[in-house]
Amino acid sequence: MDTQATPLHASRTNALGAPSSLNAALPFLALLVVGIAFPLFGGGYWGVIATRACIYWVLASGLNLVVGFGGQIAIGWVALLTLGAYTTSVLVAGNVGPPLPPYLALAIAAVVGAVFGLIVGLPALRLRTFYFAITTLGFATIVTQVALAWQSVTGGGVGVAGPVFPHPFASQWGFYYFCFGLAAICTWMTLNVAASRFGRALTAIRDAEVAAEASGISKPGLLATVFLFSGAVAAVAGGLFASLQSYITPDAFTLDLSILFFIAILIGGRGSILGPLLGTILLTVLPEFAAPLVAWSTFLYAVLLLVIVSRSPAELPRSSISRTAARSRATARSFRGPTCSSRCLARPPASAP
Amino acid sequence: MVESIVSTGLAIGCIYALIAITYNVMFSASRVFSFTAGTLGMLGGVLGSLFIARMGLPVAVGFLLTLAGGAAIGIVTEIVAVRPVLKSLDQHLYVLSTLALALMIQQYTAIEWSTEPQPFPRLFDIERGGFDQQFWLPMLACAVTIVGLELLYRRTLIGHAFLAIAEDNFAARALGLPERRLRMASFALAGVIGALAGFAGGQMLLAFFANAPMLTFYGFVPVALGGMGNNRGAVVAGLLLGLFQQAANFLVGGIFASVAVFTVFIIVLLARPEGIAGASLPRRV
Repeated sequence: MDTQATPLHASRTNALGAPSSLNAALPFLALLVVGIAFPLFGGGYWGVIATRACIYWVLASGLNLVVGFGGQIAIGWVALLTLGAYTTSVLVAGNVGPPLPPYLALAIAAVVGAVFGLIVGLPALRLRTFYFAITTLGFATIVTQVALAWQSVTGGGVGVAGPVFPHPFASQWGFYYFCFGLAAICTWMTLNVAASRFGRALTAIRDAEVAAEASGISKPGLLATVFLFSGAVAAVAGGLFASLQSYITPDAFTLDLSILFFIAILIGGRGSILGPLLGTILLTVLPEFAAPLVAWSTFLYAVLLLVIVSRSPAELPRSSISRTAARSRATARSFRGPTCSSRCLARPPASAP
Repeated sequence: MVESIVSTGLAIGCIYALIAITYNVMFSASRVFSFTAGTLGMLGGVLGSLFIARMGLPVAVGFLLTLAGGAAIGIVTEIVAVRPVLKSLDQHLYVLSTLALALMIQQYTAIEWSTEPQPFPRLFDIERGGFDQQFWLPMLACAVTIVGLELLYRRTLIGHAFLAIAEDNFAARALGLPERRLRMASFALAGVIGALAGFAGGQMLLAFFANAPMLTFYGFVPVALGGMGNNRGAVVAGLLLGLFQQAANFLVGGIFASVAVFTVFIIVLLARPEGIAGASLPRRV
């Protein structure tokens, strides 16, 4: 793991080339070291929590591109976690066709997740804000209903056993390293995406859609790719989640989880990878320190969301047009608007991933 | 069979239509869609069950208290989640603020009330017939609401003021209408309608906290199909949705029903984002 993941981060610092990029990579390297060394000082239960944090980040890293960079309010993303969890478990259990090996099932879940990520995301091309938010919410509602109703496959309310990944990943720490490795890869991939013209194009779409499209960014293609990626990693996270839980029922996938991911990204700050990463770890670990708060955690997250919205709207997706910018938006659209995105895009495509 | 599909479908459709009207009343007052619409419907059931079944109050008192609770939540929505973000409406922060409030209410209900569906009391002590009170109560509530709203908007001064605010906010304020108080009144009215929906449909949906996201979604489908702010379109679309869902439920099973509703919703939104009956708005570029 050590030899595999460290060069990933090193290659990023090389790719960017700028002297400041080493400083930017330091927090990630520190997290990498802590993550690898974690079994040395973590107890058994903390191992479960650390594994959970890794799994959540696998999903949140993809969602971060949608919410933090693309500015789409996707609140029902837990549906893709559900979908991935059920696809993996059902294929491994052999409820549909012959039982498949867990890795193959996980790969199939990723494909299914990508397709459904695209289907849920497609409306974002025409619909904005509330409409898109409620579409994802509706999808989450329906996935749960289908999981409950399709008893022959999903086991209905009784549920289905999660997959067990074979040796070397069967033990607790083996599985932890498996999830940690995937989380590291997701971090590396999203860092590369964010640093490329791809990420800048996403930000341009979020900040000034018309100007971005006028500068030659294809919004449908861009968003479709992001939704495919985000759906795939969310479904992979679902497969891992099912394995960690060892048994899944529709109750395990409430909207609360969705809100956890969403708020982790919001408190981390838009357009950042490190922030949402720390946010995800924080929100996963925090309830463990205050046991009485566990029941109230979603309530507190909602309060937090309300406070963020009313106090510091600059942190939010779609709020990127600051107040001053909003005032001069008419001018910006006609004169200065496209300059940012065209400057961003004017860089040679060599830095693309 | 057909009878049961029609009566269940129309009753559920009436509940959806009422939630859609809740969305519309809030929308016309503030240009904001609020996630609390479905939460209000859920609260109607929970409060009704709390006041009548658990506290043993008379039905009429419990009913009025439930409506008052809905109105209070409506006003809280306006103060906490809508007013702070109205200034920057084009940033669409209301999506997150109303979502946060809806989640807070839902979570509080889950913890303090119950995470299991609780029974809703039978309101009238009459014989259980083929066409039971659980079916005609939502229809009655829906009819009363539609007639009441029409009378309010057409016959009364405050109704005209509501319409003026909805049609042209700036012109209405220039005429000296108290915009903020009218908006609060609108949200209180929306709260009453939402709570009424939940109360009337309580015997079908039970007093269950998870009704909130379900009603939030299925109540918005008629809004999207009927055109935002269009109550008549919302009622027709709500009834059709209820009938379609129940028919599909009985004939081909629940999986297909859910998926079909979602597919229709997405296709209509993609093809006509302004709704089937809505007028298309020019996009500002």
